Amino acid sequence: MYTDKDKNQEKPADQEQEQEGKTVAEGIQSIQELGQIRVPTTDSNLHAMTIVGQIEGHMILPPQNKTTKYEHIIPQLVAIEQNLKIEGLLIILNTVGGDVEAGLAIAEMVASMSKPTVSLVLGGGHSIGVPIAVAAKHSFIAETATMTIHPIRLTGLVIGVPQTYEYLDKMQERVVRFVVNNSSISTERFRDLMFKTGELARDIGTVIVGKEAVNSGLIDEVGGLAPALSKLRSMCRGEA
Amino acid sequence: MVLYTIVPEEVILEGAEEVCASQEIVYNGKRILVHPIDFKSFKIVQLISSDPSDFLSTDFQPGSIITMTM
Repeated sequence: MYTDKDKNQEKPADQEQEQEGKTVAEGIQSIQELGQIRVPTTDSNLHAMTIVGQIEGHMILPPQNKTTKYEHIIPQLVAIEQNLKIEGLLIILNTVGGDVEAGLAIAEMVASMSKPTVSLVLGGGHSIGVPIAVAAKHSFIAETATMTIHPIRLTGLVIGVPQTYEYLDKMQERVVRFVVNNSSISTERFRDLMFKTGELARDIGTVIVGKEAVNSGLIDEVGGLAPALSKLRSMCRGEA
Repeated sequence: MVLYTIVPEEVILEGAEEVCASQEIVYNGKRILVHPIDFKSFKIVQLISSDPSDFLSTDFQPGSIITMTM
Protein backbone atom coordinates (compact mmCIF):
# COMPACT_ATOMS: atom_id res chain seq x y z
CA MET A 1 0.00 0.00 0.00
CA TYR A 2 2.79 2.42 0.83
CA THR A 3 5.60 3.04 -1.64
CA ASP A 4 9.01 4.55 -1.00
CA LYS A 5 7.78 7.74 -2.56
CA ASP A 6 5.14 7.99 0.12
CA LYS A 7 7.71 7.49 2.81
CA ASN A 8 9.90 10.30 1.47
CA GLN A 9 7.11 12.78 1.74
CA GLU A 10 6.97 15.19 4.59
CA LYS A 11 5.97 13.64 7.84
CA PRO A 12 2.57 15.25 8.46
CA ALA A 13 1.26 14.14 5.07
CA ASP A 14 2.62 10.67 5.67
CA GLN A 15 0.98 10.46 9.05
CA GLU A 16 -2.25 11.69 7.61
CA GLN A 17 -2.12 9.05 4.93
CA GLU A 18 -1.30 6.38 7.46
CA GLN A 19 -4.23 7.52 9.56
CA GLU A 20 -6.48 7.44 6.53
CA GLY A 21 -5.20 3.98 5.59
CA LYS A 22 -5.96 2.76 9.08
CA THR A 23 -9.49 4.14 9.02
CA VAL A 24 -10.14 2.57 5.61
CA ALA A 25 -8.81 -0.77 6.85
CA GLU A 26 -11.00 -0.56 9.95
CA GLY A 27 -13.95 0.34 7.77
CA ILE A 28 -13.40 -2.67 5.53
CA GLN A 29 -13.05 -4.91 8.54
CA SER A 30 -16.30 -3.76 10.04
CA ILE A 31 -18.07 -4.33 6.71
CA GLN A 32 -16.68 -7.86 6.51
CA GLU A 33 -17.31 -8.81 10.10
CA LEU A 34 -20.41 -6.98 11.12
CA GLY A 35 -21.91 -6.06 7.77
CA GLN A 36 -21.86 -2.49 8.99
CA ILE A 37 -20.05 0.63 7.95
CA ARG A 38 -18.54 3.11 10.31
CA VAL A 39 -20.00 6.51 9.62
CA PRO A 40 -18.41 9.81 10.64
CA THR A 41 -19.14 10.24 14.30
CA THR A 42 -20.95 13.24 15.65
CA ASP A 43 -22.19 13.42 19.18
CA SER A 44 -25.66 12.00 19.22
CA ASN A 45 -27.99 11.73 22.18
CA LEU A 46 -29.69 8.76 20.55
CA HIS A 47 -28.30 5.28 20.26
CA ALA A 48 -29.17 2.93 17.40
CA MET A 49 -29.04 -0.80 17.96
CA THR A 50 -29.36 -3.20 15.06
CA ILE A 51 -30.72 -6.69 15.60
CA VAL A 52 -30.00 -8.66 12.45
CA GLY A 53 -29.83 -12.26 11.29
CA GLN A 54 -30.20 -15.00 13.87
CA ILE A 55 -30.42 -14.11 17.53
CA GLU A 56 -27.69 -16.23 19.02
CA GLY A 57 -28.27 -17.75 22.41
CA HIS A 58 -26.69 -20.50 24.43
CA MET A 59 -24.93 -22.03 21.46
CA ILE A 60 -22.43 -20.43 19.10
CA LEU A 61 -23.93 -20.86 15.65
CA PRO A 62 -21.81 -21.98 12.67
CA PRO A 63 -20.12 -19.12 10.80
CA GLN A 64 -22.48 -19.10 7.77
CA ASN A 65 -25.12 -17.55 10.03
CA LYS A 66 -25.22 -13.84 10.50
CA THR A 67 -25.92 -13.44 14.19
CA THR A 68 -26.75 -10.96 16.91
CA LYS A 69 -25.06 -12.04 20.12
CA TYR A 70 -27.23 -11.55 23.18
CA GLU A 71 -24.32 -11.55 25.60
CA HIS A 72 -23.10 -8.38 23.88
CA ILE A 73 -26.50 -6.72 23.43
CA ILE A 74 -27.58 -7.10 27.07
CA PRO A 75 -24.68 -5.17 28.67
CA GLN A 76 -25.04 -2.60 25.87
CA LEU A 77 -28.62 -2.06 27.02
CA VAL A 78 -27.35 -1.64 30.59
CA ALA A 79 -24.81 0.93 29.37
CA ILE A 80 -27.49 2.79 27.39
CA GLU A 81 -29.84 2.84 30.36
CA GLN A 82 -27.26 4.29 32.73
CA ASN A 83 -25.31 6.57 30.36
CA LEU A 84 -26.43 10.14 30.99
CA LYS A 85 -25.50 11.27 27.48
CA ILE A 86 -27.85 8.78 25.81
CA GLU A 87 -31.44 9.94 25.92
CA GLY A 88 -33.18 7.45 23.65
CA LEU A 89 -32.76 4.14 21.90
CA LEU A 90 -33.74 3.22 18.36
CA ILE A 91 -33.89 -0.53 17.73
CA ILE A 92 -33.64 -1.52 14.09
CA LEU A 93 -34.84 -5.03 13.39
CA ASN A 94 -34.21 -7.25 10.40
CA THR A 95 -34.14 -10.67 11.97
CA VAL A 96 -35.25 -14.18 11.06
CA GLY A 97 -35.66 -15.16 14.72
CA GLY A 98 -33.43 -17.34 16.82
CA ASP A 99 -33.04 -18.58 20.36
CA VAL A 100 -36.23 -18.17 22.41
CA GLU A 101 -34.50 -17.42 25.70
CA ALA A 102 -32.01 -14.97 24.20
CA GLY A 103 -34.76 -13.19 22.28
CA LEU A 104 -37.02 -12.95 25.30
CA ALA A 105 -34.09 -11.74 27.42
CA ILE A 106 -33.43 -8.87 25.01
CA ALA A 107 -37.16 -8.11 24.80
CA GLU A 108 -37.53 -8.01 28.60
CA MET A 109 -34.49 -5.74 28.94
CA VAL A 110 -35.86 -3.31 26.33
CA ALA A 111 -39.36 -3.37 27.86
CA SER A 112 -38.02 -2.55 31.32
CA MET A 113 -35.88 0.42 30.25
CA SER A 114 -36.83 3.82 31.60
CA LYS A 115 -35.49 5.73 28.59
CA PRO A 116 -37.61 6.30 25.47
CA THR A 117 -37.34 3.38 23.04
CA VAL A 118 -38.60 3.10 19.48
CA SER A 119 -38.37 0.00 17.31
CA LEU A 120 -38.36 -0.10 13.54
CA VAL A 121 -38.99 -3.34 11.66
CA LEU A 122 -37.35 -3.27 8.24
CA GLY A 123 -37.33 -6.22 5.87
CA GLY A 124 -38.36 -8.78 8.43
CA GLY A 125 -39.00 -9.22 12.11
CA HIS A 126 -39.91 -12.89 12.28
CA SER A 127 -40.60 -15.37 15.08
CA ILE A 128 -38.71 -14.24 18.19
CA GLY A 129 -38.20 -10.86 16.48
CA VAL A 130 -41.89 -10.15 17.19
CA PRO A 131 -41.51 -9.81 21.02
CA ILE A 132 -38.43 -7.61 20.52
CA ALA A 133 -40.33 -5.34 18.12
CA VAL A 134 -43.23 -4.89 20.53
CA ALA A 135 -40.94 -4.45 23.56
CA ALA A 136 -40.14 -0.85 22.60
CA LYS A 137 -42.45 1.87 23.91
CA HIS A 138 -43.41 2.75 20.35
CA SER A 139 -43.04 0.48 17.34
CA PHE A 140 -42.81 1.17 13.63
CA ILE A 141 -42.90 -1.16 10.65
CA ALA A 142 -41.82 -0.31 7.12
CA GLU A 143 -44.57 -0.65 4.56
CA THR A 144 -42.87 -3.61 2.87
CA ALA A 145 -41.56 -5.29 6.02
CA THR A 146 -42.95 -8.66 7.06
CA MET A 147 -43.43 -10.49 10.32
CA THR A 148 -43.99 -14.24 10.49
CA ILE A 149 -46.00 -15.52 13.42
CA HIS A 150 -45.90 -19.29 13.85
CA PRO A 151 -45.82 -21.83 16.69
CA ILE A 152 -42.63 -22.88 18.45
CA ARG A 153 -41.72 -26.44 17.63
CA LEU A 154 -38.89 -28.90 17.30
CA THR A 155 -38.02 -30.03 13.82
CA GLY A 156 -39.90 -33.09 12.64
CA LEU A 157 -43.51 -34.02 12.25
CA VAL A 158 -44.14 -36.04 15.36
CA ILE A 159 -43.56 -34.90 18.91
CA GLY A 160 -42.18 -37.84 20.90
CA VAL A 161 -43.63 -37.62 24.39
CA PRO A 162 -46.43 -35.52 25.89
CA GLN A 163 -43.90 -33.75 28.13
CA THR A 164 -42.12 -32.35 25.06
CA TYR A 165 -45.37 -30.94 23.81
CA GLU A 166 -46.12 -29.39 27.16
CA TYR A 167 -42.62 -27.91 27.39
CA LEU A 168 -42.93 -26.30 23.95
CA ASP A 169 -46.41 -25.11 24.83
CA LYS A 170 -45.01 -23.40 27.92
CA MET A 171 -42.24 -21.74 25.90
CA GLN A 172 -44.87 -20.55 23.47
CA GLU A 173 -47.05 -19.24 26.26
CA ARG A 174 -44.16 -17.02 27.43
CA VAL A 175 -43.89 -15.49 23.97
CA VAL A 176 -47.67 -15.04 23.59
CA ARG A 177 -48.00 -13.44 27.03
CA PHE A 178 -45.11 -11.05 26.40
CA VAL A 179 -46.46 -9.94 23.02
CA VAL A 180 -50.00 -9.46 24.33
CA ASN A 181 -48.79 -7.48 27.37
CA ASN A 182 -46.57 -5.20 25.30
CA SER A 183 -48.81 -4.45 22.32
CA SER A 184 -52.49 -3.84 21.69
CA ILE A 185 -53.15 -7.23 20.07
CA SER A 186 -55.51 -9.59 21.91
CA THR A 187 -54.49 -13.12 22.92
CA GLU A 188 -57.20 -14.59 20.67
CA ARG A 189 -56.11 -12.58 17.64
CA PHE A 190 -52.43 -13.46 18.17
CA ARG A 191 -53.26 -17.16 18.56
CA ASP A 192 -55.41 -17.01 15.42
CA LEU A 193 -52.46 -15.65 13.47
CA MET A 194 -50.14 -18.23 15.01
CA PHE A 195 -52.23 -21.28 14.15
CA LYS A 196 -53.69 -20.20 10.83
CA THR A 197 -53.46 -22.82 8.10
CA GLY A 198 -53.08 -22.34 4.39
CA GLU A 199 -50.81 -19.30 4.57
CA LEU A 200 -47.36 -20.85 4.80
CA ALA A 201 -46.19 -23.65 2.49
CA ARG A 202 -44.38 -25.76 5.09
CA ASP A 203 -45.94 -24.61 8.29
CA ILE A 204 -48.94 -23.18 10.04
CA GLY A 205 -48.93 -19.51 10.91
CA THR A 206 -49.20 -16.16 9.14
CA VAL A 207 -47.00 -13.70 7.36
CA ILE A 208 -48.19 -10.18 8.00
CA VAL A 209 -46.97 -7.26 5.90
CA GLY A 210 -46.60 -3.62 6.97
CA LYS A 211 -50.09 -2.22 7.45
CA GLU A 212 -51.57 -5.60 8.48
CA ALA A 213 -49.28 -5.60 11.52
CA VAL A 214 -50.68 -2.20 12.50
CA ASN A 215 -54.29 -3.25 11.84
CA SER A 216 -53.90 -6.32 14.03
CA GLY A 217 -52.64 -4.14 16.89
CA LEU A 218 -49.20 -5.71 16.99
CA ILE A 219 -47.25 -2.65 15.81
CA ASP A 220 -48.15 0.97 16.51
CA GLU A 221 -47.46 2.68 13.20
CA VAL A 222 -46.33 2.21 9.60
CA GLY A 223 -43.27 4.31 8.89
CA GLY A 224 -39.61 4.52 8.12
CA LEU A 225 -36.53 6.18 9.52
CA ALA A 226 -37.68 9.80 9.69
CA PRO A 227 -41.00 9.09 11.48
CA ALA A 228 -39.21 6.73 13.90
CA LEU A 229 -36.53 9.29 14.72
CA SER A 230 -38.93 12.19 15.09
CA LYS A 231 -41.12 10.06 17.39
CA LEU A 232 -38.07 9.17 19.47
CA ARG A 233 -36.98 12.82 19.68
CA SER A 234 -40.42 13.92 20.77
CA MET A 235 -40.48 11.15 23.40
CA CYS A 236 -37.09 12.41 24.63
CA ARG A 237 -38.54 15.89 24.98
CA GLY A 238 -41.22 14.42 27.21
CA GLU A 239 -44.06 14.61 24.71
CA ALA A 240 -46.19 11.51 24.28
CA MET B 1 -31.95 -24.59 23.40
CA VAL B 2 -35.15 -23.93 21.49
CA LEU B 3 -34.86 -22.06 18.22
CA TYR B 4 -37.84 -19.97 17.18
CA THR B 5 -37.05 -18.95 13.66
CA ILE B 6 -38.29 -19.20 10.08
CA VAL B 7 -34.98 -20.65 8.92
CA PRO B 8 -34.90 -24.48 8.83
CA GLU B 9 -32.75 -25.98 11.57
CA GLU B 10 -30.59 -27.97 9.13
CA VAL B 11 -29.59 -24.73 7.39
CA ILE B 12 -28.65 -23.04 10.66
CA LEU B 13 -26.73 -25.94 12.11
CA GLU B 14 -24.84 -26.93 8.96
CA GLY B 15 -21.16 -27.21 9.87
CA ALA B 16 -21.81 -26.96 13.60
CA GLU B 17 -19.19 -29.61 14.38
CA GLU B 18 -16.39 -27.49 12.95
CA VAL B 19 -16.70 -24.65 15.44
CA CYS B 20 -13.41 -24.60 17.35
CA ALA B 21 -12.89 -23.73 20.99
CA SER B 22 -12.15 -20.16 21.97
CA GLN B 23 -9.24 -18.90 24.04
CA GLU B 24 -9.29 -16.36 26.83
CA ILE B 25 -6.78 -13.52 26.61
CA VAL B 26 -6.27 -10.09 28.14
CA TYR B 27 -6.16 -7.30 25.54
CA ASN B 28 -5.82 -3.59 26.38
CA GLY B 29 -6.59 -4.47 29.98
CA LYS B 30 -9.86 -6.22 29.10
CA ARG B 31 -10.51 -9.93 29.30
CA ILE B 32 -11.83 -11.31 26.02
CA LEU B 33 -12.57 -14.64 24.39
CA VAL B 34 -10.97 -15.01 20.96
CA HIS B 35 -10.64 -17.44 18.09
CA PRO B 36 -7.09 -17.60 16.74
CA ILE B 37 -6.85 -16.83 13.00
CA ASP B 38 -3.09 -17.15 12.60
CA PHE B 39 -0.12 -16.86 14.96
CA LYS B 40 -0.59 -13.16 15.68
CA SER B 41 -4.19 -12.27 14.91
CA PHE B 42 -7.39 -13.17 16.68
CA LYS B 43 -11.08 -12.69 16.11
CA ILE B 44 -13.06 -11.46 19.12
CA VAL B 45 -15.82 -13.85 20.21
CA GLN B 46 -16.90 -12.32 23.47
CA LEU B 47 -15.95 -9.53 25.83
CA ILE B 48 -15.89 -10.45 29.50
CA SER B 49 -16.36 -7.32 31.57
CA SER B 50 -18.59 -5.98 34.27
CA ASP B 51 -18.29 -2.41 33.01
CA PRO B 52 -21.28 -1.89 30.71
CA SER B 53 -19.60 1.01 28.88
CA ASP B 54 -16.97 -1.42 27.54
CA PHE B 55 -19.73 -3.00 25.47
CA LEU B 56 -20.41 0.28 23.66
CA SER B 57 -16.78 0.50 22.58
CA THR B 58 -16.28 -0.47 18.95
CA ASP B 59 -12.86 -1.98 19.75
CA PHE B 60 -14.40 -4.97 21.47
CA GLN B 61 -17.29 -5.77 19.12
CA PRO B 62 -17.58 -9.52 18.49
CA GLY B 63 -16.10 -10.31 15.08
CA SER B 64 -13.42 -7.59 15.21
CA ILE B 65 -9.94 -8.78 14.41
CA ILE B 66 -7.07 -7.84 16.66
CA THR B 67 -3.44 -8.13 15.69
CA MET B 68 -0.78 -8.62 18.31
CA THR B 69 2.41 -6.64 17.84
CA MET B 70 5.53 -8.38 19.04
